[in-house]
Amino acid sequence: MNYLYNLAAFLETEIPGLVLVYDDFTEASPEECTLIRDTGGTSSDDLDREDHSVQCLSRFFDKLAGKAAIDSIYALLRKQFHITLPEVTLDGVTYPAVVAWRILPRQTPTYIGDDENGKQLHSVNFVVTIK
Amino acid sequence: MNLTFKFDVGPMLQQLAAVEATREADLRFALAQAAVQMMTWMNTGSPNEPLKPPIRFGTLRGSASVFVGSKLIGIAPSEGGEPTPATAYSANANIITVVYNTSYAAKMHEWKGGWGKYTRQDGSAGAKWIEKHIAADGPLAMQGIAEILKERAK
Repeated sequence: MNYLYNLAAFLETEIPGLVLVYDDFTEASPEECTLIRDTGGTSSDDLDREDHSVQCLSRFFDKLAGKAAIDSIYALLRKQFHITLPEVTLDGVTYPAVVAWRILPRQTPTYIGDDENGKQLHSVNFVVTIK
Repeated sequence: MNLTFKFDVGPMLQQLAAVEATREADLRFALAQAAVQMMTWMNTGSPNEPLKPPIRFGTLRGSASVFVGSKLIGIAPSEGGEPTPATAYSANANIITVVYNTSYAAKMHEWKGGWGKYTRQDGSAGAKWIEKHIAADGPLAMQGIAEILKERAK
């Protein structure tokens, strides 16, 4: 079941000014932005439950700005239960709203150093449970 | 007329204590087996998940060590480089912890770029190797712990 773009829409609605890109940084990505990507997960053989792993990775020239961006995502998602991730349309495709039974951080936000262009990287991961 | 029965539970409690001590030792043994297996799977890939840590010089893989609670159980074999595996750690007694004790371990786990040619030459190497092995192999490790406990209880 798709949920990633719905989760991104939820983040963009709740955190004004947050600039998200999907799946990977590309040449078209803004210089300073936050990546959101699905990193796998597990499904239940017997139940409808799916536990998706999601990574948010910010890159900013200013370390504090990058930390602020990743912290805002962490603060918003860390205690969310049974929330509706809104419907969203991307490139003409509509992704219906989906209910996340639980969103669980895997850890607190982590500074992981800089990229080849000197932008500072911060990362945090979540488990998003859909059922 | 009084009718008194005495039931001395002392010997039974002593036996229960002995069984409890045995089971505790069995649990330590099973956790240690699972711990080493998880670290090995994370470094070399497993049948469920082939992913391995990125490699430049071998430092990252060689810097892996594993603990059950605060007890050091194993250190990954050196693959060159300058490995610095952790030898001390603190955790709850029933927690298995795999530590990659290098300054860039978090970056290698969280980021997909900047690994160098050896990573590209080594199939299935890349980011998120810990997360993916916990998801793919965690249930199997738990099953293994259960099997060991069952076997040693016979």
